[in-house]
Amino acid sequence: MDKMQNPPARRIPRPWLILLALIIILFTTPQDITLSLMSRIFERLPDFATIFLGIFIEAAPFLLFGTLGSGLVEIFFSQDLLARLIPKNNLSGTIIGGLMGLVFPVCECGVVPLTRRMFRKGLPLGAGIAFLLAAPVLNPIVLLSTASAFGPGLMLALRAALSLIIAISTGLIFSSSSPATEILKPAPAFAPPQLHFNPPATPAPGLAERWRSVLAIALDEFFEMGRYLVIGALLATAMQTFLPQNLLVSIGKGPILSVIAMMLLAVLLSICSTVDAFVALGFIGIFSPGAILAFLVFGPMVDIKSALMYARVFNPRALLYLILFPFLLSLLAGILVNYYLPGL
Amino acid sequence: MKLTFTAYRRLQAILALALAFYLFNIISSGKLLWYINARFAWLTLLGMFGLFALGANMLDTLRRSRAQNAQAAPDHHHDLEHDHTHPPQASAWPLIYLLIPLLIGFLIPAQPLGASAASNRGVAVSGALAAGAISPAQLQTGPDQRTVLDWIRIFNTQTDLEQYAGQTANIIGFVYRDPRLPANQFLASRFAVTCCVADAFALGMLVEWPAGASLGVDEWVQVKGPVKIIEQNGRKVPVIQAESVRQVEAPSQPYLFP
Repeated sequence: MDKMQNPPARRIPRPWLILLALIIILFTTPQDITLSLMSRIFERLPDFATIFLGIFIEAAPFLLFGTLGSGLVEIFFSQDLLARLIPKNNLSGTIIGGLMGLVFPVCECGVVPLTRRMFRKGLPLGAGIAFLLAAPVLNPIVLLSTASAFGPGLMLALRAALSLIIAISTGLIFSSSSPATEILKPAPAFAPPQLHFNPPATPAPGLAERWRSVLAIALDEFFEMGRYLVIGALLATAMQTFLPQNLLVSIGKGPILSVIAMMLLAVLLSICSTVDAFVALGFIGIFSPGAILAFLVFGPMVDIKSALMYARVFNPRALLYLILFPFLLSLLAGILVNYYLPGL
Repeated sequence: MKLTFTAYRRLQAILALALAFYLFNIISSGKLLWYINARFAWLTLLGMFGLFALGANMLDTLRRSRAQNAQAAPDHHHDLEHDHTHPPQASAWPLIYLLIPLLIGFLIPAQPLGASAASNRGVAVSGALAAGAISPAQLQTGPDQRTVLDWIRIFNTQTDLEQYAGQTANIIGFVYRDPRLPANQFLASRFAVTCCVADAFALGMLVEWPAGASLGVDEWVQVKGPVKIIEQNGRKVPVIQAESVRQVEAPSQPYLFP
């Protein structure tokens, strides 16, 4: 796919390089270590398969809804309409971007293709970043699931408010620092905006034809983003199956370390934001309240699979900031809560 | 691996249909509940229909465009006159990734989480899981109707625990043996799954059974007997003094859904 735009920069395709690296690792490590590792892997293989499929089955429908949303935006949303709805002004545009999730109910898998599509339709950078980070929390479904898990109280309010503040401030930092062209990777060659099977003869497309295009775009993006879901789920599963889970719990004591541990757990578990509140509920009493809040704020912004999808859309430096700012701000928020609101 | 535009799209469509078929397969066999909480099953059903629609739409589009092209250019030859550009080629690698869930799903025999996953995660006898999330209706279920999860929830949330001492428990769980337990004790365990198995949390009730050592790990048992309360690390924990331990088939819904 990449090769179509950037002519041969790499001679060997990446999958072969990975295979080669694996073979080298296999032959350079002492044999008894390799053998014990192998037997451990085989022993755990059924668990591995079950957990991997669990994450995939849970997340795939959400990714599908996001790509369908992206197709709908492409076909039924004109560039003018978007320009009229989102002000060009940095601050108000970014704030509206952060609140857009209330209209587009997507989780962190679906939001990435949708945001990229809107960037291509001319969405300002700050608004897009704020949407990307806030939408997985500030949308009706997630707010409802958080309310049903924690009750309509302070936890719900803080989760929503902090997500919005972090998203908007990260959006503002991005929009004031560099133009969008330097931050976004070029569009992949194989996601054509329309189906060019028979371009010259096509008359103005009818409604049925437009719906077909929506489904075709969704299919394209499901496969483009789906591979990051697969890789992310594989990594998260590997860490879950081969690392003892109470390791993190035993590290995660104290008002600061507990926040860090819970944020790492959010990244490792890679649970969809629509359901993570129920999971967080299970950690009450084990981790500090600030840690639970940080889990609920940071998890939807960054986890293994969404970070891989970001890497598809943004260049490496932007990716770093996109992970670092939310990390530091959520950490700060969690620590402050632990010191000033310990009874949360 | 280079594919033409059409071949790439056809492969996409076939993979989407295969994924839809896989989802249909686990939904219809009831194995979906080995992977996710029943509460979210409708999402998987929607995903199945969605993937089917995407794949079917693409195959249909390809078929129509082929018919159209044949009509428009009945004698298309590779001569010098033609002015259309040939379809670009794409690498098939990105599609291969979506083959991974299919391969794992169809080739590795499906198996719910059991004792080996429990040993990696640890079994909680007084999990803080879903503390405070007990409803009055759950408190009113008769002692012989309570699951492992119900018992542990009661012991987490209630203060007056003496009323539960002596009640007869009747639970199903898999055998898990913690090395710290004496030979006549084992844990009757269940996994609690909130969202999907990635967040599975093993819960267990202590069972005193003199012949406990003869039970195989991971075996499913039905345990009946009065509940005794002991102190463990400063917490009150229920122990079943088993009157009968019967081997049973693994339940079709192996996890408990809080």
